[in-house]
This record gives sequence, structure tokens and C-alpha cells, in this order.
Amino acid sequence: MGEKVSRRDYLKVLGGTVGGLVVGAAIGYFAAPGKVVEKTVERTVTQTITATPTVTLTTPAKKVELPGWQWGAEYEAVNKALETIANEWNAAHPEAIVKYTIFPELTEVEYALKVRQAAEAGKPPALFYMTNTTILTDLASDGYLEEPPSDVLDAVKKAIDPAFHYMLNMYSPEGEVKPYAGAVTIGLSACALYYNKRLFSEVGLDPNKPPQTWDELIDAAKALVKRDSTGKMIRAGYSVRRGGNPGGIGEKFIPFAVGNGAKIIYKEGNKWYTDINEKPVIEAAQFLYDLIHVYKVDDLEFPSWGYDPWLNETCAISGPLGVGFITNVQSSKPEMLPYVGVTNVPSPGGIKTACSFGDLNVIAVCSKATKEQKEKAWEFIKFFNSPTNIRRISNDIWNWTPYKDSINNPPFSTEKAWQELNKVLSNVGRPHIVNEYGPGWLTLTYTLGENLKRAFTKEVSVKEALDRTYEKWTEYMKTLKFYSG
Amino acid sequence: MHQKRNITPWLFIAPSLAIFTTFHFFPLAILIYASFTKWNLISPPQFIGLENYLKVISDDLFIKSLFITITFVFTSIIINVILSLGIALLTEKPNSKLATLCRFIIFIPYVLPDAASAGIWNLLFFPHPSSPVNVLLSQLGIGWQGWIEDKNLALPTIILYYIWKNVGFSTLVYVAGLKAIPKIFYDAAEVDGASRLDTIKYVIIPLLKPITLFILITSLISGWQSFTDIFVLTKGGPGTATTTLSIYIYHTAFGEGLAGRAAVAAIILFIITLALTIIQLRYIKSE
Repeated sequence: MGEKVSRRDYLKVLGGTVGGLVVGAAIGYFAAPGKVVEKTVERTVTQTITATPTVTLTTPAKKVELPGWQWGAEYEAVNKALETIANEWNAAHPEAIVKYTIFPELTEVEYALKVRQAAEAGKPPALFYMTNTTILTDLASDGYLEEPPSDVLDAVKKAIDPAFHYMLNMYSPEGEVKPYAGAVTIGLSACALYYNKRLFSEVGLDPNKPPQTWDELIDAAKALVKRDSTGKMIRAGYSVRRGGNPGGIGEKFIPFAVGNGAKIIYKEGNKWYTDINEKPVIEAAQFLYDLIHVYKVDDLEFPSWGYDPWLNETCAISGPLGVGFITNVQSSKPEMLPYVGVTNVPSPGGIKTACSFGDLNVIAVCSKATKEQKEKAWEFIKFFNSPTNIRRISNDIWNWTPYKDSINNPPFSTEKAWQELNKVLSNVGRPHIVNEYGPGWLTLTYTLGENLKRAFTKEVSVKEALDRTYEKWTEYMKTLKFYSG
Repeated sequence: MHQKRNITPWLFIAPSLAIFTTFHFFPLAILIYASFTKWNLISPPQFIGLENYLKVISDDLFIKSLFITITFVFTSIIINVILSLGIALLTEKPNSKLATLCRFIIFIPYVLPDAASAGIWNLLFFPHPSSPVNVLLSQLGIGWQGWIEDKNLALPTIILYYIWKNVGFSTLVYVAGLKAIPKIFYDAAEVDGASRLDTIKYVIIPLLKPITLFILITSLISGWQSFTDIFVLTKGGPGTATTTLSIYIYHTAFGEGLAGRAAVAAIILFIITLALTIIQLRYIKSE
């Protein structure tokens, strides 16, 4: 059993401990160095000292970090250019260091969720760098994006070709379309079909007369398809996107539907509607289904989609794909460049109703960042939009951007493939830009893609797939305040 | 007599209890709550009662994904158990360097990260005439196959992958089990004139029953929940040919933004896994 402690001894120990703590704390307080003043004065102070010459004292500006959250991996060349620009800025502006963090493992929805959580925790990014604007559209309509100051906006509008000014726009929380993007690093995702001119000549098609209508695409693809002696496909005439990220399937389908007169999502009065299971969309989906199952220009088991099959000539016509297609050919297999033919996404009405699908990679500023961070972030964006940097992210590395300095100069103004692409972009007029479809677009295209792939693999009928899409779209849209009001 | 309450054991378990509550019970409670709401993971959830349950149960894709999961889990487990037992019997020889090397090679896929091993598999079985497996098939006179792009072959390819990945671990456990069988049983069988097949049938398999049950339980749980490999290999496609329950949950929550519906599917997955585990544990107890 333990020894009993008397009350007197207990009080002695307790009193000694408390007294010691008090004395110790007092000594510590008086012996401690003076408090470091964290508040720094940002302006230059001129102080005159009596009877001595005037001395100028400059207090250092407050340091801010500009965390830039990047979603999606860019082309290596673009990444390098971005890094060079950030490094140069950092060397010249040690008081505002830009630091990109890439989140390759996160889905777009997870990224948006992370931004919201970081903002709630008081640690939001200062800059957003996105390889698609669908997430930014969601964030803009939720109030996470800062509107550019007028001088930044004027500068970027001056630098960008007027035909593409609207691409900076997104929906505000109040439902107004406003510019939110400050810089553009690459442009337009699903905007054109890329065909192999050499293969066109080989099968007796005119390489300078690409398909413009659905019927012409069927005829060309039928002529280009190639099978071995056992009947197995060795070259697809045209590739229908039906695998990979479902969002991509939906996104690549939209230009066909819009080219056939679909509105996809639209507002009448104060209400939002969708025609995703109506005639123009059903016809477009049926057309792609028929290319696989009726005209057999593509086999489900044959890997025909993407850059590699086109480069390896196991697919003759690819797309809709973004402007980066030509950049990719240039960097991966430049000897194929002379064979790159570019045409608009065919539609029943030809060029008149053709559509492309715009999705710019942009830099924007987070509205939840601190005032100092936001000011410096816009300064960085101004620096980013300088002619030297535009050249770096576009002309030097064959990366199409809508900057006037870029598209009006080589290689975009001289190389045949780029010229054809520029013609396609001007042909289709105003491309359908995801930013202006409103928030949730990413989720909506995902659902569409998920159902389309079921239709393309004959699990459900085209109509059934689009009815399911409609049901899920309307349910999802009801969860968004933007659409439901 | 009033018994004094001893808090010492509680203090010892408090840290793990706190972790368990934070990372297991709390998310489970959120999951159950979410299943009664309309929620896109971003906007605030809205309570809708049993609507999600009715929608999920009547969703043909959910039913299909349930059947795909059952087919995937049971086929792969049965083949895995038979194959690993066979390999263990063939490579159990003590002091054989060749046997050790074989076991080592078979074990390698198990220690690889899921994404890396799925990536390797993707290269081997790439649906193109030039992929290594297709080249081999062509040389054998069998035409090249679409594997994960072929809706009839995609699930068998995934099952094959799962076996390739896990057979090493099961083999290792079986080898350990074989080594634990006392020599006296083999001697007795030999005295009785039992052939090698008889020894396997009447001595080895019955004595390895606890090992087999252990492999069954662990494989069943991991099989039901398997996600990364399938996601990397097929994303649930072509079409929905390899959409297991976990892939269905992912698509519904993070793709289609219907987290309430996904929560219902997750609860059903949880109940099935729990029920199977309880059944197996009861069986072990009764044995």
C-alpha cells in the first residue's frame, strides 16, 4: 500500500510548484526579446533627420506566396514553357513567388471539392491553371473566381483575336456571363477532324476535298477502312470515341449533336431546359452508332481512337480533337505533318451548320485568396501575357493559342496544317464554348458519355441511353442552385 | 458490493478507438445519412427519404454490376484457390532452388502497386496485333484478340489479371500450411499404401482447411472491394462489361454527381461484405 501523504506536505508541494511557475513566468516575460512586428509597411518612407542630410529608408515589401493549383497534365513542351515563365517571374519578384502544384490524381470533381475545402480552411490557391475550363465554370458560378481588373482585361482582350474574346467568359453566381479568365495557354479541345491525306490519295479520294457532311463522312470512311484476310480490322476509316474517360465521350459527341441543330442546355425566360433526348441529339447518336454497326468503318474491339492510331495509320480520320493534335504530330512524328488534313466536324448541313467545341486552358485568380495575393496574381498574369511569353507558349512550341501575335505569325500563319485549321475555325464561326453552358457541364458530359458508350456497345438502344441521360441530367441539375433557382 | 470502475483499459484503447471512430464510424454515419439525400458532393444535401433506395434497386445497371461483381469474385477466387494449391504442392520441395525461384517469380505481381501491375497487364494485353500476348497467339495460329476492348473477353481478362496478381500470395500461404503438416501424417499414409493423389485428397486438403478458409475470406473481401486495377484497366468498359459495384459507386458519385445514389450502393456493398464475412467466421467457429 502507498504511503499516506499529510495535508501539510501536500500543500507545501503544491504551493512550491505554483510559486515556482509564477516566478519562472515573470522572469521569462521580462527577459524575453521584444515582440517582432509582423506588420510591414509596403510604401517607401522618406524621413528627414534634423541637421543631417536626407536619408531614404525603404522597408521591404511583404512577401506573399502565390500557390497555383494546376489540374491535368499539359504537353511537356507547354509545361516547360509555363515553368520558365514562372521561374523568370519568381527571379524578378522574390516578394511574390508563384508555385504550381499539379494534381494529376484528382478527378475534376475532386479538384473542385479540394478548392472549396481549402478555401473553407483559409488556405485557398491564389491562381488556377486548368487544362479544361469546365471546373472553372463551376467555381465561377459559385463565386470562387475573381473578375479581372479592367487594365488586365483590356490588355488580354487587346492581345487575343476578337473572334475569341468570348472564351474568357463564364457564368457569375448571379447568372450573368462575365470574363473571369486572365490568360490563355492553349485553345479549343474538340474542334476539328484530322484526316490522313496520304491515305486519301491511296484509296482514290481527293485529299483536298475532305468530308463536310454526314453522308460524305460515311463514304470516305467506308473507302478508307481496311481489313485483313480473316476480316479483322487493321485500319479504321473513322474512329468513334466510345472508351476512356466518359466525359471525353460526351464532349466529342456534342459537336455532332449541335451541328444537327441541338441546343443541349438552354434558357427560356428564367428556366433552364435540355433537349438531350430529343430528335437532333438522337439522330446524331444514331449516326455514330451506324458508323460502327451499320457501315462498319470502326470496330469496337479495335483501338482506333486518339493520336497514336492516326500517327501509325491504323485510323484514317480522327476527331473531333483539339488544336493540340497538330502540336502532337509535330513533336511525335514530324514526318507525318505533310499528310495532316483538317476539316470541320461534319454536319448534315455541311459547313453552314458545323460546330466546334471550345475549351480553353486558362489561368484565373481565386476570389478567396488574400488581397495581397490577388493583386500580385493579376500582376503575374499581366507578365504572363507579355509578347515574349506568348511566343514562348505558342509559336516556339507549335502550341495554338488565340493570341493575335501567335496566330498571325509562323508557324500558324505559314504551315499548311495550321492554315487549314485556322480556316476551319473561321468556317464554323462561333464555336460552342463549354464555359457558356453553365456550371456542372463536366458532370453532365460524363453522364452523357457513360450512357452513350452503353448505346455504342449495344447494351441499350440509342433512345434509351439518351432518356437515361435526360433523367440523370435533370436530377443533377436540380441539385445546383444555378439551374434550380 | 459496489465494484470500482477501472479506466486503465479504456485509456489504452482510447487512441485506436478515436482513430477508428474518426475514420470508420464517422464516415459510415455520413454514408448512411447521404443515402437519404440528394447530394452532388458540393452543394448542401437535401433530404429525400427513400427515393435513392428505390432508384438504385430499380436501376438495371446496378443489378448488372452486382452480377458482374459476383461472377468476378467467385470465378477468380475458385480458380485462385485451386491454382495456388497446385503450385504450392509442386513447389513445396525443401532445399530446391528451382522451387524457391518459381515461388519468387509468382509472388512478384502481388507486391507490385495495383496501378503499376495493371499498367503492365495493359501493355501485355493491349488490344492490338502488335501486343506481346497477341503476337504469341498469332504465332500459335490463333488470331489476335481485343481483350479488354472486347465486351465478351473483358471480364475474363480482368479475372485472369486478378489471379495473376494474387496467386503468389495464396501459394505462399499454402506452402507455409504444407510445411506445418507433421511428417507423421505422410508416414501414416505411406504405411497405409496411399498414392500421392490419395495423400493429397485425404491428408493434405483436409488438414489445409483452415488455410483455405483464410484465403477465401481475405480474397472475398478484397475481391468485392477491388477497384484500382479494374479502373486502370477498363474504367468499367467496354460499355459496362466490367462495371463492378465499386466502379458503379465511383461513376455514380464522382462522375454523375449523384452521391446519394452512390451511398445506397455503397451501403449494399457493405452489407454483402459483412454478411459473407459473418457466414465464413461462423463456419470457421463451427469447424
